[in-house]
Formats: sequence, C-alpha cells, structure tokens
Amino acid sequence: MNRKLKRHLLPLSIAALATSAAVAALHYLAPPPEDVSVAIDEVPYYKLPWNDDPFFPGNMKTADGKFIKPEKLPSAASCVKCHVEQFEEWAASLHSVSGRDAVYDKTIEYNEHFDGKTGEERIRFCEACHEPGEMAIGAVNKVKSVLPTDATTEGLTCVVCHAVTEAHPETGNGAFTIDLSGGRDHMHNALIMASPRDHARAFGARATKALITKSDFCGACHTEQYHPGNSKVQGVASVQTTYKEWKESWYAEQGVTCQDCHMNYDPVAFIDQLKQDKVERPGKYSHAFAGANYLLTETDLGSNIFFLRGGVLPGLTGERYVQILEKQKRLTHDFLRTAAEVEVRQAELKPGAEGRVQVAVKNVGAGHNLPTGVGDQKHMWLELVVEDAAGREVYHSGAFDEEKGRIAPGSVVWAERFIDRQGKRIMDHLTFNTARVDFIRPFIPAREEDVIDYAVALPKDAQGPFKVKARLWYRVAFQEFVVQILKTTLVIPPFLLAETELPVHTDREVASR
Amino acid sequence: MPANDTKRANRSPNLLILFHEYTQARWLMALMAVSLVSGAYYYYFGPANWNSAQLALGAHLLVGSLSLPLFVAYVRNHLPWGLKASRPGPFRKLAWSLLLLFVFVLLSGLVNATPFFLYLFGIIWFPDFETFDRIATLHLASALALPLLVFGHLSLRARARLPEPSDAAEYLEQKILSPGETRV
Repeated sequence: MNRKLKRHLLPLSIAALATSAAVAALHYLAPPPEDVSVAIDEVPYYKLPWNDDPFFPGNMKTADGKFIKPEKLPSAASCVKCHVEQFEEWAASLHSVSGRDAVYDKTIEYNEHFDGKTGEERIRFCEACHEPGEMAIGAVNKVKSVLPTDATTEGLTCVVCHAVTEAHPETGNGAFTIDLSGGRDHMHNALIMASPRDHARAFGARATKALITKSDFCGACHTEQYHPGNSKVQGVASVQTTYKEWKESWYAEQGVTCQDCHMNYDPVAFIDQLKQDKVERPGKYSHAFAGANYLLTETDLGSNIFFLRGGVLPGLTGERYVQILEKQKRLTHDFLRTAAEVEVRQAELKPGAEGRVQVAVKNVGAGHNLPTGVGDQKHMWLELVVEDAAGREVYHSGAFDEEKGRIAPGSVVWAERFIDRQGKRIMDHLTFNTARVDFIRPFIPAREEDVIDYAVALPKDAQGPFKVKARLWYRVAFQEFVVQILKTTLVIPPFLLAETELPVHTDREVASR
Repeated sequence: MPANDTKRANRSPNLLILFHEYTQARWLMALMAVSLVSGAYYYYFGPANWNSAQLALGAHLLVGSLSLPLFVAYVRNHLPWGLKASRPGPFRKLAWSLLLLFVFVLLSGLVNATPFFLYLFGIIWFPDFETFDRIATLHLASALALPLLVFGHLSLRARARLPEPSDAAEYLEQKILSPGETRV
C-alpha cells in the first residue's frame, strides 16, 4: 500500500470506526419509541357483551388486536402543516365529518336509546366505519373511560385510511385492519422533511399502498349487512351493496376504480370520457371524495351548515371552512349531474281519455346503482308534468310539497325500505329494530335504465299541443327521518339530477324518440 | 545546513499550502466516513430504533453540510496541480469520475436536504415523494461507490505521476515564483 493511501485511509478508517461505534452505542442505548398499543383489559370498564372481539358488531380490527393510545392517534390538524391541499380537500368532504355530522350523531343516539341495555356497545357496528378512531382507542363504550381526542372526532381522518393494511369488501361493516402497532412518525418534523421516506412508508406502508388505490379498500365500508348482532334480521340482509354493484359493472371490467371517479380532480371530464367508452385513468388523486350528499355542503344554509357538520374541524377557521365548502358544493353538484339522464320515449296523449307516456331513467355516469348507499333514506323519484297549449298543468305525478317536504302519493320512487317485525316501515333509520329490508323500486344498475310507463288521463278540455316534462329528483333523506331524528321542521331541498322535455304537437299525435 | 535542508526551508511557504490541502483531504476523508456510516445506519437500521435513527440523520445532515464547503476548497487546491501532475489516461478518467461522483453525492444530498433547511426557516416546500425517493436512491448508491473510487484514486496516483518536474511542490513553485526566477 502506498504512503498516500495509508495516510488518507487512516482518518477515513478512524472516523468510520468511531461513527460505527457511536451509532451502535446509540442503537442499543437510546430508548425505543413508546409502544402505541394498550391491551383491551387495560381500558377500564370496557364492556364485551357478546364475545371477545372488542369491535363487534363492527368488523374493524387493529393489527395487534389491541387498542391504540389516544395520544398516538395523530389528528389531521397535525398533517395540515405540510399537506394543506390534501387537508382542505378532505376537510370539505363527508369523510371528515362521518362521525360528527348532526344527522349521523342523532341517528346514533336514537339507536342507542332504542337498545337501552347494550346500545352504546351495539353502535360499534356503525362506528367502525363512521368513527374508527374512537373505536381504535376503546372509547365506544357505555362508561367513557377514554376521552376523545381531535383525531377521534375527525371521522375518517388521515391516519385511518393511511394505516389500513387489510380490507374485506365482500364482508363490509368496516372490515378493515388498522396497523399502528409499529407506530408512525417518531422523528422531528424538520427531519421528516429531510427524509420523508419513512413518513411515506408509515402512511403508505406496502400493504396500505397496495390497497389504498383499489375499490376493495372502499368496499370495506361501502358494503353493509344486517344480521342478528346489529338488527332484528334473521340471517343476513344486504343493506348497502355499493361495492358489489361496482364489481358487477362495466366499470370494474374496465378497471375503473372508486378512486378514479370519487378522488378525481375533474370527475366530470373523467366521467364524460367514460361515457364515450374511453378510459384514461388519472395520474393524481384528490382527497375531496366527490359524493352525493349535497346537503352537507350547502353553504346557503348559513350557520346551519356548521350545525349539520358538527362544528368547525380542528385546523380550520369558520371562514376558511365556508370557502372550501363552496368549492365542494360546486364539485358535488357537477358530479351529481353526471349520473343520470331521463328520456321521454313515447307520449300518446288524448284529451278526455287515458293516454300513455313512457319515460326511461338511465344510469349513465355512476359506477354503481342509482341511487346507492343508505337506501332507506337516499332516494330518487321521477316527476312527470304534462302542460297543455295554454301552459296549464293537466297531469302531474311526483310533485314535491316544499312546505311539508313530502312527495305526492303514487309517485315513482326508488328507495329501500326498512321493515320491523310487525311489518311496519321504519322511516327513521332505526337499524337495531330492522327485521327485513326490501325495495319500493329496485335501484338502477350502472349503464342500465329503468323504463316507466305512465297512464296519463287528461281532462276533456285540455288542448294540444302538449309539453311533457320529466324531472329526476334526488334527496338525501325522507322528511319523517328529519322530523324524528333532527327534531326540526327544516325541509331538506331535493336536488335535480336530470330533466327533459318533449313537445307533443297535436293532441292525437304519438310522439316518440 | 545541508543543501537539501536549505531547499526544504525555502519551500516552507509552499509546503504550508500543500499541508493545508493535505489537511483538507484528511478532514474530507473523515467527514465522508461519518456521513457514510450515519447515512447507511439511518437507511438500513432506522426503523429499528427511531430515537437513534433521528440522531444519526441529524449527524448525517450536519456532516454532509460541512463537507460541501470543504470539498469546494479542497478541489480548488487539488485540481490545478493534480491535472498537471498526472498523465492522461485511465487515471485521469478515474479522477474525473471520482470528482463527478463526489459532486453528485453532495448535490443530491443538498437537494434532498433543501426542504429541511427551508423548514428551519419556516418555509414549507418539498418535491413529490417519487422525485425525492429517486434522488435518495441515487445518493445512496453513489455514496456507497465513492469509497471504492477514492481507494482506486489513491492507489493509482503514484503510477500515474508524470516524470520530473511533476511533484506538487514543483508545481506550486512554478505557480508562486515570478517568471524567470529560479530557486537554488
């Protein structure tokens, strides 16, 4: 070895050895990060009324089967410092208020009271999807021995999705596994900025990353089944089948996932290209989770929107909240309008006699049934109006009473029905009392249509030419539910999904398309 | 005083400069070793103990930051005479590769550390994770290759020397002495 080499290698070797010794010492002497888990029996008074599963009747799990220490569950407000865009998108979505919105909160209370003895434990069925953070810390219990944190009030907060490692979409009812057992961020924020690799690994672990872009991930909650553990159903009743509807659709065949539409920065453009059978999946995804609940983004409600959304989220000001909700409102409205089309196919109108109008309602843009989700409340109906030459309404089906918030009897309504043991329809989402589930009219599968034939009796004095107007309306809840659960007479306005008009030139003409 | 000693004494200011460069090289070697060990520890063993890993990462950033000005100063001293003193050929190619690799390691480290420095000044900015990850992977790979090139450079340098006058002191003499002036 030459002299220069020796001279240069000496400091290199000494420094390498000294550093190795230092890191080895650090490795063994530095205390390991604190364990994030708590054994189930360490949570005082935690009740297990049915079996040893601490989350039953919900299907969620934690990787180590333990609870998570509340302080180890990071709030989205801690993520906003660096991920402002994603935070604000998420904050305006339904996912951020899945546990705190007034409608859900009151429904939970209502169900809890119905099952007086084990109500607080039975709602673990609902909370697994709506407040998984609260479930994970062991706070869903009659005796509240664990206090909620910001994170647990944020519904589907960042860490919930970004720590899921397993999902069972066919099982549903929150059939996912959260893995926080290895902990998450242990480094100072500045050091995370220098090396985000482990931060990214922590919130996008291999198992999470593989799952988070798939519909299977969403299916864990967007599949809901009633069974004797959560209702009075004998056997199993499918209540929400959104995942299955997608799985059996053209969209699944084409590899279009839930995320492609609902987490798209421009879902309208994306759906428009799907309508032309073109599939160009997005490269970047939004956290806005465009959906169908137009009520919880309705900023025209003034301060009522804060009431409905359960107050202002941690990490936001009221003013900013309204601004981002405005944006979400536009997104929701545009998104909803991509879903359906109505077409008056035939109209045979005769004054003083019974004519016939045929209307097709087409699911052209939704990758699942129309409507979907909580079908006992989310409903759709068709309004059909025939006007004569003078503009007089000579036939009207599906009228909506804006004062009372009710649809006229005899209307064509797409809705699910919860029925109790006495055969009575349950209008207030009393899950725990539901014994049977059926449909008033089955929902319309993706890329399919429902054709409705109307027998239209016109008065004798009706004069053509006529105008046939068809409107497809959507509403997030029935008025009976609003009155019973929210104890308010507030009428939830309906949303116009699609409309069309067909002129029928003479009173004897058969118009057809 | 023997003639040789007189020659050495007369060269003292030049040798001081040489000594300075030599010290820089040794320091650079030491800092490189610390960076390499701390970085590799963080990369491969970080998840086993975050409390020690973040100290290692902190040390890596500090030492890496110190290496950068030292490297610039060293290259400024070393490159001009090094080029004159070596013969063209494989050694030169190796030397240039070493230089480029060193520059790449330092710059890629600096790029990935930029969000850290900005954060310290209250500015939140970071590239997308995929970009960071690619740079980090290249940073690691090139940093692991660096000692091999250093070893090669130091091993081959004697063989690659030009015949007289080729030693560094001669070069420095030529550089410092005024034209026409000669030392005895």
